[in-house]
Amino acid sequence: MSSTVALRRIFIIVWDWNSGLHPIPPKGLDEWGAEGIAHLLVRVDQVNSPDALGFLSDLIAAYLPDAHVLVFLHANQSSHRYASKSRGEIYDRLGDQVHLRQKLSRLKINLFGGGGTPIYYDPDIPHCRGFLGSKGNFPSIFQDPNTGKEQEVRLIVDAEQNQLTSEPFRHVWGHYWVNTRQKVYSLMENFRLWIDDFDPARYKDFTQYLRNEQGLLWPQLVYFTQIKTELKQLPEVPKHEWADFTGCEQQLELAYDGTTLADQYRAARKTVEHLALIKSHKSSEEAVVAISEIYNALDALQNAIPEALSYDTIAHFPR
Amino acid sequence: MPIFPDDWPMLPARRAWFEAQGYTPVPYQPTHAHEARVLLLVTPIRVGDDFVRPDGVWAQYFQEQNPEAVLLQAGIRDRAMGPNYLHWGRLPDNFGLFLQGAQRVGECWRPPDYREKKLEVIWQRFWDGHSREGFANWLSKAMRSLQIADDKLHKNSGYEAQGRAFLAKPDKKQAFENMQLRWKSYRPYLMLTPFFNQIEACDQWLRNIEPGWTDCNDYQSLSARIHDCRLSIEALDRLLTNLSQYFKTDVP
Repeated sequence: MSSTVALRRIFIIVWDWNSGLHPIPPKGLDEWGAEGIAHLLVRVDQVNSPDALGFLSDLIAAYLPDAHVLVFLHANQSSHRYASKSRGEIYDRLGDQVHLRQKLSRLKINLFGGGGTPIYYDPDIPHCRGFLGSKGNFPSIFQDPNTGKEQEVRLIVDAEQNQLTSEPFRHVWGHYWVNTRQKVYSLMENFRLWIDDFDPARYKDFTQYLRNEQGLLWPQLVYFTQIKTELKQLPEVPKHEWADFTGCEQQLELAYDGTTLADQYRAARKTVEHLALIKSHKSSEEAVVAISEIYNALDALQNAIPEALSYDTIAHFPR
Repeated sequence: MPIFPDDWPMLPARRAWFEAQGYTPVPYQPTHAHEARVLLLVTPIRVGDDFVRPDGVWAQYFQEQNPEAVLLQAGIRDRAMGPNYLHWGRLPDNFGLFLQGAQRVGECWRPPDYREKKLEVIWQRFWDGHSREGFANWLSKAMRSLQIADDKLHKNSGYEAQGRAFLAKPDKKQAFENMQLRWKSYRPYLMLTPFFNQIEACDQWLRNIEPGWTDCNDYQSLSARIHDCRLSIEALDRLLTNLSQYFKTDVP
């Protein structure tokens, strides 16, 4: 079992909570548990300022020794005003503390805003099954714009005990921490882009041709397939987020009830491993078939994962 | 036959196939928007670490400019949909016949939805943003400031000091800064559209709008400079407002 599963998961969300039905107590934060699992949602509602960044850094520092921490900063110019540099400032503050420096890989900070992304709940958008409803509230009642019918969504299990259902915890974690579909999709399209310039007549050099790519593709192939001999040869640099497939397989099992998707993930991994990194192709035809099978195994997999490719990766607020 | 993106590598074997079918692949140029019978889009396109599909914007643009054209998508996707997908692994024997079976843009051809990132949605984030923080908002605020300053300077030479103070107000400065920063963030995505000449014109206008009136030492030079900025920002507004029609997300 990977460390992704073993450590506790802490979600810190800075949002308009004080405008909602459950404002945050005067100490500036509160904690909400997840039914049946040990994860925790920490709510904060503070506008971007040096004090707020200090508060958040201290908060993260308190959780980080024993947990993975996933932070969401509301990047809304008219309310919270967090931006890309806020993220950098928090990392810098934490990096100044020697005992935390080795733990920073357990922290991920996202900017969000605007609705329509997985941290929100929207009954009409399948990938929106997150924590946030409207006006600072957890999701509760939704009205169908066409029929006017009301639909109730129960996220709060026990308001007095601050307890929520576990679904949004799993959902948000899958999208923002593991992000399996985004990673598989990125591998698939990086492969397609690089292979577009491959002459099948050079079929004997197929693996070497892939190895020659100087960007993300080769590390993605190696980390996805987990071939030990290749893993050892990768340069010792921090993994790019889209090349880190740690926990993807487990997350598919955990988040999507059952093993079908995880089986598909393992099958795609075998296909890529065999055709891209192990097999010696004997003809240009074989290489062409291999290219198609690799791409389409990845395409079928990424298409089967019920996650959205997140627009949050786009810098919608200037650096 | 034009291809976009124009730096897409064309393997000799593929080039030979197209030429044998009577079509010479060439990089896309703006003039092709009116004269091309076929346009080949090799998408999604990488921007940084992201992949984006601009096909919907091209379809909306060609629908207006050249509805008889056929927009083809090309690749190796087995679950590709529709008659406009050219599969490199299954090239047709007769490309002319294949094109006859493809849908023209004017027949309401729309790119199939593969659940990828669409440029139309990215434009919305750029232009509208969230809670009035999009480019359109900052552009409008900056333009209004310049129009007020320009009108007052034009009517009254005694307004020079007030005009400088007015434009130096924090909210005015913020509008100019955010407009420029937002442009810088989104420009690489906008270059995936057929509008690269217009984007370059916007670059020029935005360079001209960079607040530089502290260098203007007297009324004459300040007045001329503000007026010049006003003309640039108004041209920018007209052009981008016009382009926004090609980024609709609710096209049937």
